[in-house]
Amino acid sequence: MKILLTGATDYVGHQLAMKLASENVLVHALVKNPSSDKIPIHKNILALKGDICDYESVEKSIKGCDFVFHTENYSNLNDKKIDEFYKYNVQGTENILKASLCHNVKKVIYTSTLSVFGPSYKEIPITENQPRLITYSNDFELTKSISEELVIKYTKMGLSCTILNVSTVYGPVINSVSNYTNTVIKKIDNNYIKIVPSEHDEIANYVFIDDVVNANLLAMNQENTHERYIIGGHNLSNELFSETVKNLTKSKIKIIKINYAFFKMYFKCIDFFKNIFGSSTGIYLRETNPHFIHSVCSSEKAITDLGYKITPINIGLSQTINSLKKQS
Amino acid sequence: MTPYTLITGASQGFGKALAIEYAKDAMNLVLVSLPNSGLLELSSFLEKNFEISVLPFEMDISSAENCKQLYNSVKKSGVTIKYIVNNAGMPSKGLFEDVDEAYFLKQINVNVMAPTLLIKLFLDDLRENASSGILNVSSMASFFHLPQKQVYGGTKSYLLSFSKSLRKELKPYNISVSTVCPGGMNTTTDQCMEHRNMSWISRSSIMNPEDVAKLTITQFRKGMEVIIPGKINKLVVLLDRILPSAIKNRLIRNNI
Repeated sequence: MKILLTGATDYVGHQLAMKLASENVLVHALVKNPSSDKIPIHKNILALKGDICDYESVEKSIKGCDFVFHTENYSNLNDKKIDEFYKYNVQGTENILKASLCHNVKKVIYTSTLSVFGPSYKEIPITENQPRLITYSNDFELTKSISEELVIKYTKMGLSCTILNVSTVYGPVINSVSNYTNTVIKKIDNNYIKIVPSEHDEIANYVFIDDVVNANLLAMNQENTHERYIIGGHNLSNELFSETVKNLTKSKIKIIKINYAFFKMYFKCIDFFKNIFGSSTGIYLRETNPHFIHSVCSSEKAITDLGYKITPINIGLSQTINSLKKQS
Repeated sequence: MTPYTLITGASQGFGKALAIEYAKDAMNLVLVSLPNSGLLELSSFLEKNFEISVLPFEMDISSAENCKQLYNSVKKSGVTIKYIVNNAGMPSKGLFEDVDEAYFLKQINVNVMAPTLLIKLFLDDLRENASSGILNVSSMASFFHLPQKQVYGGTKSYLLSFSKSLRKELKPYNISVSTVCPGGMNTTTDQCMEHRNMSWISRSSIMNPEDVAKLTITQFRKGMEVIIPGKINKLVVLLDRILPSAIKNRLIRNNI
């Protein structure tokens, strides 16, 4: 079997490519730079030079593929302009859908985000049928929502497609490819002080990377032609998440609660100096905003329909922490 | 019998935001919207999580027949209406010479005929449940006369004028009539994209529907005759009286 995968140099795409390749699937990985050291290395992975924003390269690499796994997205919340979000999340997705329809791909499995639903109302878990209650809070949410509208449009045209709305992903670092949550875990492990806003202890959902990868495979094997599933893990408050990581890492970090106004000011100062010195490491204030809303979700539909399984948080976090320790 | 609030065009944007605000206040709802627009999902979410009763009606209210059918269905359900929110509306679609007849006739039906007829049909309910109210959703376009907003602006001006007259007639019955005239709102993804690409000045008057809904319901409860949400929109209306028309039209053009 041959598949096309986008986003192979990103966290989810990387792990998904390795999993598919290990199951003897020939993976066409569409990448901008075939010599990037972030490309997963396996005999069944073929790195093809191209870009989801360039229709010709998408069409070239999709030929003969049975399935398409579209995981590439643009999510740099520190980017104040919408252009790149629109280019990758909307135009890129449309190119994938158009080429998939033209080349009779059996199914497109689209890794989207839980944030298209917006915040959960109070602590009521978001389900696939929940309407969005407030307007889009950033360009990532807006453009991912537009891309999902495109998916619905293409399914009406006959393309089989499954949307996976993935919550906050964490998991081991492989080949230096990591993500935001892992940066937070690393900070708890390494730092002495963590400053958190006292007014905010919202609940978020954390999903282990292996579960996201498995959900993609389960979606591929499912017969339904157009479905949407929330792929989540455990619902934990920010404080409980930090405490769990602290206990598992045996970190001596002191968590200091400060007023949100001061918290914002502190981050703004850090952002200011980062911009002056051209540093892009660490966490920016805009990246923290989505963590100050309740984002509680339920994956019951995926569990029932797909046989999706959730890795216990302690097991997932232990594996993540071990990999981060090894890396450092 | 517990009274209900009827909201048309309730599945998306401002109508949805109004429905959520009313649900937060534990008000039972009759929600009307086009089929397959997400109305059933919204109704079931509100009913489940706000402990209210919600009656969804998926129908196109562009015909008088359907409006009457809606009235009959509501009555058959044994429901009585205390507040009517006429929110359903069809937007502008470009230059008058390019818009086809079927579109603007339907637009007039949805924006003018439907709210007028629904008020007439439910008038007895409103009298019985007084103090009660009617909220007609007009637009900032009702104050200004812009190209590409001809029929839309006309229908919204009708709503403003109709509401003001009706307010005087219904006052003795303790039925309050208000008109809300919102400016641009971040409702659909298309609208959000359009607003996102506007200049900073134009964008500063754009509001989120949930904020407008909250403001509107507060003012509606106070019995305000005309509700203009947002400081910039209020300022624009104020400037309308003192500025030359060329300047005020340029200011408002991108905001509606």
